[in-house]
This record gives sequence, structure tokens and C-alpha cells, in this order.
Amino acid sequence: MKVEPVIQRIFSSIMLPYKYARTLTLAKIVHTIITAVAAPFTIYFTQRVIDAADALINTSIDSQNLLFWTVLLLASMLFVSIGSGYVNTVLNLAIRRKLEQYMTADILAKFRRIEYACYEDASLHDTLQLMTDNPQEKACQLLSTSMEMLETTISAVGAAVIFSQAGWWFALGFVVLIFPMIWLDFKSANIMNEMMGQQSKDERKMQYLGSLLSEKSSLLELKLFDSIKYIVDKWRSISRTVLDDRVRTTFRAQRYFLFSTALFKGWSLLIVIGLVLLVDRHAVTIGLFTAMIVSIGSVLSNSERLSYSIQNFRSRSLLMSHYHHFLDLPEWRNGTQKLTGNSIEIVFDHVYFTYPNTEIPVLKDISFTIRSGQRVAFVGVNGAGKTTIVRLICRLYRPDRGRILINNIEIDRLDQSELRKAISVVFQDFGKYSLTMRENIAFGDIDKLDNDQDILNASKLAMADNIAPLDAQLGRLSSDGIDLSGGQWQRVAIARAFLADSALVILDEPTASLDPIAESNLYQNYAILFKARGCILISHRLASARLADHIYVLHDGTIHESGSHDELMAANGLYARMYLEQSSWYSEKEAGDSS
Amino acid sequence: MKNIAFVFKRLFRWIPWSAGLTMAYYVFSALLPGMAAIISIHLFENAAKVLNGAAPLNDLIIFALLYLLIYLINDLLAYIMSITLNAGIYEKGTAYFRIELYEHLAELPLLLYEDSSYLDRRERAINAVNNEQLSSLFNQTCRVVSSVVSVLGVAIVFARYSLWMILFALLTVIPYLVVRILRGQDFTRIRRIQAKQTRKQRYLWELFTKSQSIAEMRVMGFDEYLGWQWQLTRNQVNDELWRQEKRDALSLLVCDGIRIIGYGMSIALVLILVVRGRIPVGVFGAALASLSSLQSGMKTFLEQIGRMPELISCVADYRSLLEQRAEKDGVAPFNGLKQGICLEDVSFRYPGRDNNAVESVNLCIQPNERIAIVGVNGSGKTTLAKIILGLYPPTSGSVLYDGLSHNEYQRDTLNAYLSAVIQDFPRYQLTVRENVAISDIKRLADDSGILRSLMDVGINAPNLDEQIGRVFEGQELSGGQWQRMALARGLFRESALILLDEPTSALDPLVENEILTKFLHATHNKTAVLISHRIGLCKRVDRILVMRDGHIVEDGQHETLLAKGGEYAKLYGEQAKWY
Repeated sequence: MKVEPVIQRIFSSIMLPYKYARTLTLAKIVHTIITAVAAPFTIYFTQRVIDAADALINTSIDSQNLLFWTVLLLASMLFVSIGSGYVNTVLNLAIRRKLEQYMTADILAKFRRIEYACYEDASLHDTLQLMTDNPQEKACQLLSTSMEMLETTISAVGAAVIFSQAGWWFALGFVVLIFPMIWLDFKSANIMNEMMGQQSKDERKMQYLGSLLSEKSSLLELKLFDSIKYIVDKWRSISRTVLDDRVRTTFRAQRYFLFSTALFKGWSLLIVIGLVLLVDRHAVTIGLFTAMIVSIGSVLSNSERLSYSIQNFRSRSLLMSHYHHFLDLPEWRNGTQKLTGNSIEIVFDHVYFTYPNTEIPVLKDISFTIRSGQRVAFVGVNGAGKTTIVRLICRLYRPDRGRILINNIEIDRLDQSELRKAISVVFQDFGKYSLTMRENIAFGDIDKLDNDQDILNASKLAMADNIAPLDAQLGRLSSDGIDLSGGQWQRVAIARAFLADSALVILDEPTASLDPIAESNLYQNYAILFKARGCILISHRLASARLADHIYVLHDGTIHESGSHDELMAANGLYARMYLEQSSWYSEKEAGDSS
Repeated sequence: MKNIAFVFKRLFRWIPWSAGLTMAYYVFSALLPGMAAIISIHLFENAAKVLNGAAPLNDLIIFALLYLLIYLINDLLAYIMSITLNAGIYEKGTAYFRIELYEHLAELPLLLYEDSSYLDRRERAINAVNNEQLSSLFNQTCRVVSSVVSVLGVAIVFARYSLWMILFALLTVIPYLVVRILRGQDFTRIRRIQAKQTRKQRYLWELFTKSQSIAEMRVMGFDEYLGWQWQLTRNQVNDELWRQEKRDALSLLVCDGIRIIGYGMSIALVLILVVRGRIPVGVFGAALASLSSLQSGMKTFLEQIGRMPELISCVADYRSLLEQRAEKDGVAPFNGLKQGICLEDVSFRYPGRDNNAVESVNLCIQPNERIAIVGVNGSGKTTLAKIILGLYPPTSGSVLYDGLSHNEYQRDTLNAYLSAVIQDFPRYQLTVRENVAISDIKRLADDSGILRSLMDVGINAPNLDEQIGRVFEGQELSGGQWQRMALARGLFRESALILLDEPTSALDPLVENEILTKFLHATHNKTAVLISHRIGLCKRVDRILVMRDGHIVEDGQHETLLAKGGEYAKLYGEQAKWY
């Protein structure tokens, strides 16, 4: 660790809380300095009290002097005690509260602006994770750590001054020794950190295996398969190597620690011997002798605290780099253009798309036009690129090449709320929010949160009206929550799209977990909905595609064929093959049954 | 007390050396301040005498060396303790607690997972282990006891000079103890009450960090609403905590005041005794030294004691989970299904619910019969299947395999004949090999068998030892591929009875047809229970059960049921009309 970046990091660790709690942070700095300076004074006062008492006994004069120093001693003890106790606690609490209020709000706002691609970027996982895990608390800890460094440094200087009363070499010895001690402690901490870093994968693996043993779906399987023992044994063997390694490394790291302890023991031995010699020569007072012996212990613990807080600072200041990295993440920009006219036209104009950090393009030269009132279906095998088209329309990603236009305006230039007028979406992995039924549906159009009539209508259209009362809590988060089945959740998600007043509705695999009656009814409801609005349907249940005016068959990222159901059946291509395969389950002749 | 004894007993059994050495250090450090006080009294006295020319240097040197020696011993013990504590009590101890807990969890009945109070307790116990709170309790208890003893030790040393010293010493400790314990209980209580709010706060925050929810809230525009909800919840939680913490800080201030008064009076008392010539000035120095060393030790002690009630309640959670009884195992060995599986008047109710999920079901399944269960969402299909497999015990009625119920059989001999592909199948972040062979682990090295199962579900895996899943930097599979993996797993197990719950929902039609056909072929000589929304599948099974509201409303073959024109005909017709 070089000096310059350390100072920079200390500075930024102070600037972060300063940004949100100016007065309090300044107060904390001032308070730290005062408390640090007061500590050596306590030692000094002790020395004077003893000397005064000694003088009083031996010469029986000057009791005022004794009283004076005693009062000062008690006052400084009170001051240090209250300062490091009450004032410190209150300051920390107040700063944390401020950060909890404002810093987290800023982080949340940033989360809302980050470009979507960052969320799916595995390399940003750690940064996002750290921002999730109480960043405000970590910022407070970081401030406390740098304040501790400041305090212990000042105290060390103060102690050196006190020691210099007995002879400059006491102080010098101390100053000279503190550097190798910190270096040795660092060495030892480094060894431990390195090992922890190497073991983090094993740690995660153990945690994962533990979760297999404690979560419902995996436990159900493992019990049935009698393979619990396998998982436990696997875990045991990882645990054993991790532990062995840890114990060995701890021993290795503690060697350095032992050296540094020995160094300071040596120093205290020298001090005691030196003091005894000074006593022999009558070169110290009893007060100074006592004060110095007493303070050896506190100087040692102070030095330990200093090196400990430096190590702490080093590991905690990682937060700052993640925090700055987080703040620098690219943001998506909202456009300003408004849509005009009543009808909507979405155009894909020779669109190419490759996911970030991958090589193979998912979409190649895709062009199509969809107008409001139209019913369009995208079909294709798993991985053909259907869902990617949805993500592009939703502006979650930008195409590599080509343009996506809504009413001739590039979607990047549109205001987000205008985009919402054009489309609403039921994603394939739609959200199952552990909130109220009302909220779950109103997320389709949050302005209608209190519009019971519209919410009920939407839930009726999606056949979600009998699932739960509007203000019932859904999901497992609270004990009174109603846990819905997959099919029920899907209906709630569909109700969201029915609530939104968009010109087009995009449905990505909307019926995967619905029973046949619900599926069939939904198709019927779509038909009603489609009359007024347009619909983009993405499905591998081809029955639903039949309802569409126009079907696009995607294959390997290109539009393989397109046309109406009848046209595609006549063409006898990929679509026809898939359709026949599926309908064979329902045709009267047995197809492909080998049983 | 029971909770503390529980932790001590276990640690002394598992890691006697570490626990013993750690304790040895704490015993020494409890006695240290008292010894230091005695030695420093002599040290300072001798120094004063030497300075006044009343004594030779020898005694001073001896006591100075003694003084150094006890600290040297203390440091040595501290050094050993820092190893035994970190590597032993924390690392090893936690590892043992963790394995004890998870092994026990795995033994508990699955039905408990439907009980939210169990889930809460389970989460708390797991957190207690993961945050090393059980090991912490050991350490904190030692520390607290050792601190109290050390204060008493010093008090006793100085009691020789005045009995008041004992009172003053107690004055420095007792108020803290009382306040800390009371306050700590308050905090624990508030945390319990706030648990729900805190969980909601965390949940809402996490929604902003996940790609799936962020996509939805951006496109639909409810991110602002959620942000606002989060702030609301957070303010509720924090305001209450803030009030509590302020009160806590204030009561600490009062304690600090009392403590300082205690110190002040001790110092004043000693000083008066010194001035009156009742005690030598060296004692005064020693008293100051002891008090100030106690003061710094006391600060950490007080920080620790506040956590005790929380730690104890964590251990209580852990213990209550261990006391949860595991499933009983039967004695009869199971040697394969001969007569069949019979359900007699079986009803089932999830804990905490008002109505039965499965209602008086009577059913006999013949060996090698292939059965499809159909019905609308929430009609009880999956629950019935889990009852048949013995994963859930029926609330009333009985499930008999060749005349005996599940818990009369030796569990593993019965399980050996069962296999399943469940609806929310796990996605094992392990190797391809383990993903398949976990269903029959003794055949882990059976490459050809694993490859055959993979082939049956259309997976081409050139390297069986490849890590899959994103969590450990393996290749991530699509939903459909994971589903195939789950199917391969179910098929790999050489079972006589297999359950498939929605086995192809994530597959595209070409693959779906191919896999189901292969599957029906593969289960030719097995008893199979299939749950599916693809009603078309039912034509190919031996028997169809139609469920509605927990009842079996129809039971028969495709043609018969279709002709009957009931629930089944309706389900089939609704789906077939689209083709």
C-alpha cells in the first residue's frame, strides 16, 4: 500500500459521509482529535497528582497543588470516558441515520438509472452485490475506521511526548519500533487475506451445498433419491480441506504477529530497566515513574489498535472503489420525443444484435412492421431469438446495427412514458411480487393503483379475479401471505398487461403454466382484446399462433418464414412441421406413438 | 443458562483442546489485574523508597521483572488463544455446528416447509450458524465472566486498605450489566417485531438489483412507486430503531456517570488515605494503574455484554430446531411392488389452511400401470402425487404399498423403487455427471448409463465432468435444457415407480413430442404417474384421473371418458379445438 493512494482513500472515506452529513462529520473529526489529545493529558495529570501527593506527605505543604491536579485528572477522565462513550455513540448514530436517509436514496436512484445490460453483466455482480448489502453501514464503518487511525496516531504521538520527559531515547525507540510492528502485522494479515481470497470459491460451494440440504425442492429430490449422504460427504470433504488450510495458514500468519509482539515486549523491557536505572540515579519523580509504567500497557494496546485499524481500513476501503465504480456505471438516457397520432407502428429496420461479451449474433438482419390493431406471432424453437426481440422493443438493449422505430421515431429518442403508451409486456420470467394483489396488478399502470374498477376488470379478463382479494398479501414474504401456484401467478401477470392502456400488448410465453381451460379462455380473451388493440405473441404453443394475422417463424436469429397460418401450412416448411407435431396429440389417428 | 451450557458442552466435546486453552487464557486474564495490582503496589512502593533513599535497588528490580513476567505470560497465552479461538472455536466450531444443523435439517419431514413459523425459525438458526453466533456466545461468556472476576480481583486487593473499594468497584460494573441486559432484551424484542418490516425493506431493495424485476419496472414504469414504498418501510423501521438507540445511548450516559463517580470516589478515597499516611504513595499509583487498565478493558466488555441476549436467543433458535423430531423409519424391507399401491380415504390439509387440498381419495394403482392426472390449476394434482410418493403424510386415511404404509417400511429400501421429476426441479450447480447420477449416486461412475439417459432426453454432453450453471462459472443452460437435465435424472434412477410433474412445460413442440414419446417408451415396464396440462398425452396412458377441488371426479381411459362427456371431455375439447 503506497502512501499517496492511502491518503486519497482516507480522504474519500471522509468525503462520502461529509457529502450527506456535513456538520456531523466535521463534529466527528473534531471530537476524534480532542479525545485523542485528551488521552495523553490523563497520563500527565496522573503523574502530577502522584508527585503532588508525594510532596504533601514528605513536606506536608501545598495541599492546593494536589487538589488542583486531582480535579484536572478526574475532569480529563470524565471527559475521555463520556467522549468515547456517549458522544461517540450519538455521533455515529446520527451520521448513520443521515446516510441511511440520503445515501441509500441516492443509490436507489442510481439503480433506477443504470443501463439494463449492467444487470446481466457477470463481471459487475460483485459491485452490485456490495451496493445491495447495507452500503450505508459500511460507509459508517469506514469513517469510524479512518477516525480510529487518526485517533491512535495522535495518541501515539502524545505518548511519545510523555515518554520524552524521561529521556528522548524512550520516545525515539517507540517511534522506530512502530513501523516494523505495523509491517509485521500487515504481513500476517496479508497471509490470511490471501488464503480467504483463495478459499472464497470453496466457501461459496459449501454454502451452496448447504442450501441444497435446506431448501424444499432440492431436499425433496435428495430425500427421494437417498443422496443426502452424498451431498453431506461432499461438503465434509471440502470443509476438511478448507479447515486444514486455515489452521495451517493461521499458524503461519501468527508467526509474524509473534515477532511484532516480541519487539514490543523487548521495548517495554528496556523501558522498565531504563526507569529502574533512572530511579537509581534519582533522575525521575515517583509520579513520572508510576505514570510511565502504567502507560506502557495503554501505549501497547494503542499501537495494536493502530495497526489493526490500518488493516481494517484496507479491507473496508474496497467498498469505496466499488462505490465509485457503481456511480460510474453507464446510465440509460430517456428521450424527449412524444408520439403523435392514434395509431402505432413499430418498425424493425435490418436489426442485428449480439449480447454484450458474447461473439455470436442472436439476431441477424431482422426487419418487420407491426401496426396497432394487428395480431402478430413470433414462433420458433428454444433459443431462436424470440425473447431478444421483446427486449429490444422494450429498449432494454440497443441493436448493434439497424434501427427500431415507433411512428418513425427511433425508440431511443422517445420518452419512456410514451413508449408505455405504445406497448405493455408480459415477460416470460414475469415478476411474482410479494406485495398485495392490488399492487401486483396495478404495476401494469401504477396510476391506476386506487382505481378498483379498472383493476377488477383487468383481473377478470385475465381470469385472476378469484385468486385473492385486492388487498391480500401475496407470496411467502410474510406469514399471512397467500402463496400462489405458477398458473395463478401467470394470470396475475397477464392482468397487468390488461390494465395498461397501451396500443400493443406483448405476451412472451403467456400460457406455459396454465391448465387447458384457462389457456383456452385466455386465447378467447385475447381475441376480444385484439379487436381494440394490437398484440405480439411469442409462444411455442402453436395453437395460439393460429389466432395471429401474421406469423414470423424465427430460426437461428433470422426470420425463416412468415405469413398467415394457412399460408405457412401450405408452404409446408418449419412451421408446418412444428404444428403437425403438436396437433398430432389431438388428432384422432395415433401419430408417432411407439408404445 | 441452558443455552450457554449447550454451546460449552458441544465445543468441549468437539474441540476440547481449543476450548480448554481458550478458557485457560480467560482464567489467567481474569486473575491478571489483581496480580498486577499486588505487584505494582510493591513496585511503586519500592521505587518511592529508593527515590527517598530508604531502600536498596534489589527489591525494585525484582518487582519490575515480576511485573514484566506476568505480562509476558499473559501475552503468550493471548498469542496461543488467538490461534485456538480463531482456528478452533470460530472456524472448527462453526463448521461442526453447521454440519450438525444441516444434517438434522435434511432429516426433517418435508411438510414442515409448508409451515411459515418453521421457515422463520429455520432461517434464524441458519443465520445464527453462518454468522458464527454460537461460537461467539462461547467467547463472549468467557469474556464477560473473566471481566467480572477481574474487577472483583482488583477490588479485593485494595479492600485490604479500605472496604469501600469493593463498593466502588461494583459501582463501576453493576449499572452497566443491568442496563445492557435490559436494553439488549429490548432490542431483541424490537427486532422480532420489526422482522417483517425489515424483510419487506430488504425485499423491495433487492427488486432494484435484479435484472428480471428491473426490466419489468422500467418497461411498466413502477420503479418510482417501489422506491417510494421502500423509503416508507425504511422510515418506519429506522424511526423506531433510532428512538430505541437514542434511549440506549442516554442510559449509557447515566451508567458512564455512575462509573466515573465510582472511579472518582475510589481515587479520592485512596488519596485521602495516602495524605493521612494510612497507605504509602505506591498504593495510590497502583490503584490508579489498576483503575485505568480496568477502564479500558471495561469498554470492550460493555460492548460485548449488550450482544449477549441476542446471542442467547440465536442459540435458542438453533436448539429448538435440533429438538424438532426427525421422521421415523420403519423396519419392513421393501422388495418391489407386487399387489399395488392403494389409497384409502386419503385427505390432506396443508398446515395453517382451512380446507383440504386433497379430499377423501380412494385409489388403487396396479404395478406397471401408467396413470395421467389432469385437472385445472390448484385442483390438487401435485399434492396427491406427493402423498402417493410418501413425501407428505396424509392428514387422514392411509397410503398402502402392498398393504403397508410408508412409515412401516425401511425408508431407503422403499425409496429405491421410487423416482420423480418435480415441477420446480432443482438446477444443481454441479457437474453434468452429478446432475444426472445424483438420483442414483452409487452409479456415479456409470458413464454409459448416464450418457444413455442424457441421449433419451436429447442432450449431447461430450464432457460429463463439465461444471454447469452460472453460480460456479459453469456453462449456463436455458430453461428447456435444465428441464431435460431433470428428466434425465428422473430416468437414470432405476425405479419401479416414477412421477413426472409437468415434465415438458419449458420445451418447444418438436422436442416435447420427441421426449414424451421416448419417455413413454422408457417407462414401458414401470408404474408411472404423469401430471400434465398437455391433455393430448392422455391418449397414450393406461388410465386417466381427473381432479377437481381435491377430489378425483373421473377415472378411466381416454375413449371412455371422452364418451362420458364430463370434466375430461371438456378439458380435452378446450385444448383440441385450437388444433
